[in-house]
Amino acid sequence: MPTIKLQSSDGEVFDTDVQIAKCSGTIKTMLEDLGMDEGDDEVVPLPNVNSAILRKVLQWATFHKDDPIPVEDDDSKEKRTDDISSWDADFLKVDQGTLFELILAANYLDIKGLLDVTCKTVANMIKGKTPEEIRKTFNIKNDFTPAEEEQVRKENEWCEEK
Amino acid sequence: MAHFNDLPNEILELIFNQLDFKTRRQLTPVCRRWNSVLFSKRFIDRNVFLTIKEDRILHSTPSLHRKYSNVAVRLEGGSGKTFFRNKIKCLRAWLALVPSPTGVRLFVNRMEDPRLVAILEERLIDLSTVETLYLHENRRSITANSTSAPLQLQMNRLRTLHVDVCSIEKVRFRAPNLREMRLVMRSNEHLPFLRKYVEQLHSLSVGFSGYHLFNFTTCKMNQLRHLSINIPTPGWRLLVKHNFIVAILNQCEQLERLELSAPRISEALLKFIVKNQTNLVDLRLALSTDFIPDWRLQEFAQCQTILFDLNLQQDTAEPLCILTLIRAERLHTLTLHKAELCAGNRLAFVRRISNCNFTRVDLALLIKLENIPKFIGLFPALRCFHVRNGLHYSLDVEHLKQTHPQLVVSIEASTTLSVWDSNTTLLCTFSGQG
Repeated sequence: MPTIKLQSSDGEVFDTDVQIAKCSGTIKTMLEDLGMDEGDDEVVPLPNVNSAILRKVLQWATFHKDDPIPVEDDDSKEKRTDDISSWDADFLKVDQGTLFELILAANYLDIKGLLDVTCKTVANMIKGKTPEEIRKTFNIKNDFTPAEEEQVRKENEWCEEK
Repeated sequence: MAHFNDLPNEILELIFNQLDFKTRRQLTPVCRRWNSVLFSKRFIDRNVFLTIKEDRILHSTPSLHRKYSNVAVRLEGGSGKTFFRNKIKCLRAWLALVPSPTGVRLFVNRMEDPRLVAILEERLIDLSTVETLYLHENRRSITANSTSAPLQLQMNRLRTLHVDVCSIEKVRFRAPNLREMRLVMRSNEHLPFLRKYVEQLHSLSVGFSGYHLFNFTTCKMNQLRHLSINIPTPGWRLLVKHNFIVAILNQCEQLERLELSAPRISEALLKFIVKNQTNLVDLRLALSTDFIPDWRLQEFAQCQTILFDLNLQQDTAEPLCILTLIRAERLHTLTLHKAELCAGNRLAFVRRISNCNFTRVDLALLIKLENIPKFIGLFPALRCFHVRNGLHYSLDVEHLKQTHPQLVVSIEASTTLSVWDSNTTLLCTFSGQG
């Protein structure tokens, strides 16, 4: 099976099946645009992804390599965040820092399926919480003055959903 | 270690987009960053409507400084009699927050409402930028003859129009770029209205209320790709209804998506559809049926998406519908609401189904297929298995999660109720704990 070499930001090289690497839109474009052929000994540098995260990403891509290509999202589709497969749910049982780094990596590498499922996981962490609980969960500082906070709450009343 | 606020704004938007509006509203007070993303122009333009209600016009002046690009005006209480001329000023001040709207929703009790006339005639809303317009009149029938002249609306950028009004002759659009229309046909005056635009439409959704027959033979709908027909009234005789639907379908040859929502249709009509609509890839049927047709999905071999919503008015112990899945090889999404699958051994042909969505499927019927894991095994490409109204099934689901880790399994133990929503001319599904 043809492989290519991916190099993480901290210098580790991952020998990867080309098909799996091409889950990433970024790598796919790179290979096609640069005319890098299989069998070349060139190394694709991924300066934005460290080895721990890249290992996770490749693990995800390996498991999902046979997934059907995701279709464009239909606006009329009802929003749901409970449609995460058990494998993905287990895979994403990681600390927050890793989860956010996976999101950043999925975004940089352009892997739609991974980006979707990680964003859904974060959305599930937000759901049903008060603003105070959310701040606690994600260690976010409330930088509003009380007057501003009141103004924000008021403004919300004028809107309805699209 | 990465922190939530290390994520770029686009990703925050992606995350917030996964949440419903009510939840999103709770998020703005979290911190300035979240607030600025949720109130960023891009996010607001996509997701938010400024709502102007009657009491706001009468009792308050706007204290907001932000501009919006979508507005909903609700003038449903009273008939406008309490509306004084000087209140136009307030209305104008409110609408100034939406200087060049792209989405507009107008709700009135009657089209002659002076406030609506003022909004449209005096251009309190700039119609030249509007891409989506939603016009809803509460009144169900016209009682007195009104002599007021029709409103002429020049809307060059209008692409999507939703109209649910009685007095359709009270409004005339010039909309050269109109491509999508949702129309509730409330009287015979609606047909000339439709005829005027139908040739330029790519997508049409027509709902029929009451017993009106329309002659569609003069409507050429060659451009039409998506068609949705809703006949909620059970009063129509089956044959009349069939001829009516056939008459409409005969006018459109290029359909890719067809949605039919009607209490009853027969196999003959389905066969006609499949035979004549050769470009069809997406078929959605919402039926409440009291007979048991035997539909063979091989007849829908060209379709990629099939949705059967078999909504029964009364509960019966009988199986509702038998679908035999044979050789529907292009199918990738199959949604069955309350239906029995007659599997046989032929399900093995269905290799490409990747999204299976069962709503109100009587699970006892699935048990007949011995057990769910075995059933799932028949769909090698299946990635999503969703059952609503699932009861006492947790054990098998746990097993399923182990044997098919890639499969998204969700089971909702809730009652669902499908209703015809006159506001949106869409079939909405409400879920509630039962």
